Amino acid sequence: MPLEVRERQELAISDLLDRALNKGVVIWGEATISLAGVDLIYVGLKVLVGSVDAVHQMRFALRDDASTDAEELM
Amino acid sequence: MSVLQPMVYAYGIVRLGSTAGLPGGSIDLAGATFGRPRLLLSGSLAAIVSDLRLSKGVSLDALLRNSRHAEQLVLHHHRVLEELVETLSVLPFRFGVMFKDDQGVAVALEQNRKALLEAIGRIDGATEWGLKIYCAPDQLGRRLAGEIPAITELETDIASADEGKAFFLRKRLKSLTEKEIEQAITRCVNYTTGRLDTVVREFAPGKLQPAEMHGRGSEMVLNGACLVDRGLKEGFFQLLEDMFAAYAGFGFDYEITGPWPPYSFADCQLGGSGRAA
Repeated sequence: MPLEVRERQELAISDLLDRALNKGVVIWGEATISLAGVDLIYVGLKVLVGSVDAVHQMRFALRDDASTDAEELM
Repeated sequence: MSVLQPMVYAYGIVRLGSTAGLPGGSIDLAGATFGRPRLLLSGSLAAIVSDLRLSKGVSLDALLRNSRHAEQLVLHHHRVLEELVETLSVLPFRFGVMFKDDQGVAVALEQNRKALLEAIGRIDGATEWGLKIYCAPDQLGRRLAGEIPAITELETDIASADEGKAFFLRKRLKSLTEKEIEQAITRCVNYTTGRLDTVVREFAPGKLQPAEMHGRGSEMVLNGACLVDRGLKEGFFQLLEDMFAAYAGFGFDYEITGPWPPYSFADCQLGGSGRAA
């Protein structure tokens, strides 16, 4: 059995969410969050960010909607 | 949140002079239309951005509260970056960084130029690879049973003991086996991560995922990110092939994912003043 390598399209959504929602550069502007009309708006996906629980929750949501997602993302 | 004017969505930052084709085409995701990605120059830096327009009646908050739509948006963010990452050193933004207009992007880059250049220097010429190690404790336990004299002796004693004594010996055997399994896992993880030093620029340990998330019958014992120079990719793969060959018989399984934009090595939050927030 060879070493398992998962590239690109095979990447797990849980790994992606862990990275794209929790890591990477953030620049906070002088007036960071407002409803409109500020120099910089940062949307933190507050209902989804951060925890394993949240990622877990999404994983199951995605599994349920997997076929629809695949079509919409093409 | 209602956004009537188009915003500027930011994916990542590159050094000016970096040459690579940006992914083409605009895309509509549930009423959020991302324009064709473009480079926005600011001094020696360039941000990879696109214009984001929301259809009438579509709110960003509502999109983000819908897990399916939110995932589509995150995937879009990632796919723009992953198109570039194999050939270009891109400092990825965390998902969801948006600016009011191009001027807002330029000001943010200008104010944070020094920190951003340092952050790009950290990941320059390298890509991120995920490394996971899984362990099947039952298989490891069986393998250890044949190799550790104390376990073999206890098993022999149990076979010849009366039921009362065997009960306590079994408890001792269970405890000893669990301890040996734990130690063997630690040795495997430490040995693997120690050997990575020769082919990995940086290693960042991450949270272990529960079985219901990774979907395997085994236990995740390592979940890390490796920053690997592009020229050392083959050496990195070969090292892990060797590790896998050495440990597979003990119930360990290795998985590599990637290449990723170097999210795990671009984990900085900068303030509008140019200082770390």
